Amino acid sequence: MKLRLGHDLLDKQMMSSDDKKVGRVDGIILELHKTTPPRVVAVESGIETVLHRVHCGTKWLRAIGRRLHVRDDGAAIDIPFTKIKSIGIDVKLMMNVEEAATNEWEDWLREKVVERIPGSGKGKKAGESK
Amino acid sequence: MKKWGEIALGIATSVGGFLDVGSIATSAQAGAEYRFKLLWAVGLGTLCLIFLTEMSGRLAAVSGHTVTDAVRERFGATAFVLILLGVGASSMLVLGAEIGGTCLALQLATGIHFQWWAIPVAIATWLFLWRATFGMIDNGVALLSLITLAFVVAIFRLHAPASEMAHGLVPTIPTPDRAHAGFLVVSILGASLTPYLFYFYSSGAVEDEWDESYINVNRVVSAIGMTFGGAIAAAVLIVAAMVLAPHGISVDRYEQAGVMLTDAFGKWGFPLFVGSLGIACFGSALEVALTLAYMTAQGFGWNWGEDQRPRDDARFSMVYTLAIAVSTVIVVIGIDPLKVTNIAMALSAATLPLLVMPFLIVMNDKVYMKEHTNGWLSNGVVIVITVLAFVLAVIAIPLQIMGS
Repeated sequence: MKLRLGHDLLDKQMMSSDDKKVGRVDGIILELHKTTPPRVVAVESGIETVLHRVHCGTKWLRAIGRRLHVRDDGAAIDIPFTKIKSIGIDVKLMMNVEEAATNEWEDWLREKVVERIPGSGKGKKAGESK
Repeated sequence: MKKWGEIALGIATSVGGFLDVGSIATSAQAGAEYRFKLLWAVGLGTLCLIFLTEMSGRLAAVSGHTVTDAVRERFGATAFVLILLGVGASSMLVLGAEIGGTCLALQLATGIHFQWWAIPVAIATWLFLWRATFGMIDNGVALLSLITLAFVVAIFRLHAPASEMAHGLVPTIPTPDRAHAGFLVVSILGASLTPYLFYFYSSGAVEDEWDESYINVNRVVSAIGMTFGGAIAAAVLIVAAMVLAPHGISVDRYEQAGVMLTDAFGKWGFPLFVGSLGIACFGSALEVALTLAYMTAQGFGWNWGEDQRPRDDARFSMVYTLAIAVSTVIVVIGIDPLKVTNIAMALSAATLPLLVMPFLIVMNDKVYMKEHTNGWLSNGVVIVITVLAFVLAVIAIPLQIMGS
């Protein structure tokens, strides 16, 4: 089967094994070998990678992330290609949300900001997600 | 049977979504200054909006994807970031205008200056989004917006002249001051076609879990709902033409529009106007703020949904929180909400092709749409009206700036 990386994989929505949205395929990582052809080893996800692609703001975001202790090394998140289950309109992973670990900003915001505001955890259809 | 209920609700929601600060302000100005002559612009804007909302609903029903999803996937990160910045900036202005409009309604009702209302209104807007589900917002806005039907009733009470109104449906740029008339046409088109409307619609369709069985529901809802919405905007123009124009009142400030409904309803006219303005603006403020959060979350692939608890979609909730906070600054520092509205609407018209063209390409893509791709009519109508709005905007905005 042929897979056009730019058309069929890049920018697609990634869904975790528990069917939650876990970011998009923001970048694709190839490994180069001297003797064998290049091999796709992982996909990258995160605002860092998006900003990298539009050539601005990456340094700022990393600095803010480090200052707020969201992500100390400031690197983008890699998801091994072997963890991809299927590629269609969406990209399905064989990992759940925690394993994918693309939600560091989400977790930081939840712990440091959202949960400290009254009413953040009650009221709506509790815990239901699309 | 369930679908009929949804159709009725969908129509009511579309009406609520259509009429906002932009439609009220631009229609009232056009009617007051040019009587019925710019009625055609409301018609043209509504026609284009019918096609755009039908398309965005069909995209959601067939592919389960929203407009933002599809644009990001089809055109990549750079296009998405550009559109997010463009729509983001113009939507923040629109949000400021909606919050400002709500504050002005409160000023008209209480006599307390609008600036003082900015923060209470912002907090109320945020609290609604923080606590309510999508259905509550959607249906609540729909129900309350029925008050704006007062404008339609007023037309009958005022015995509007049918033949003159029919003449107004013929596209012309009337004298005197054609540059200003052109600018008003651009503002009206911008107000009818504010991007948040169809972005909101497709996100709503995904929140309501539409599938292919909803294609016909979607067709009926978008056609009838937007027609009703457009009819109310047209009614605002007609009432302004009949009440304000003869007295030579041109709407430079919202206060001047306050008497619009007095001829038709006597002492009830003023409260009806204030209620319509306040509710239409408040409802739209909720929708614009939500749309900004939808767009950002969808483009980056975050978890999103107004039915989820804020702690379950923290980034999504923070986007609308920030959007409201930033937009409120425009009102707090006391910039005239009517001016903000006019600029926001003209900007919407000018940035329209940036949004519509990628959207059209997706609508013709079989990967997303299977056998439900656009027909020639949808493509044709949307391209012609978008290009027209853009060309008019490019000509009229500089002329208006130079003129004033």
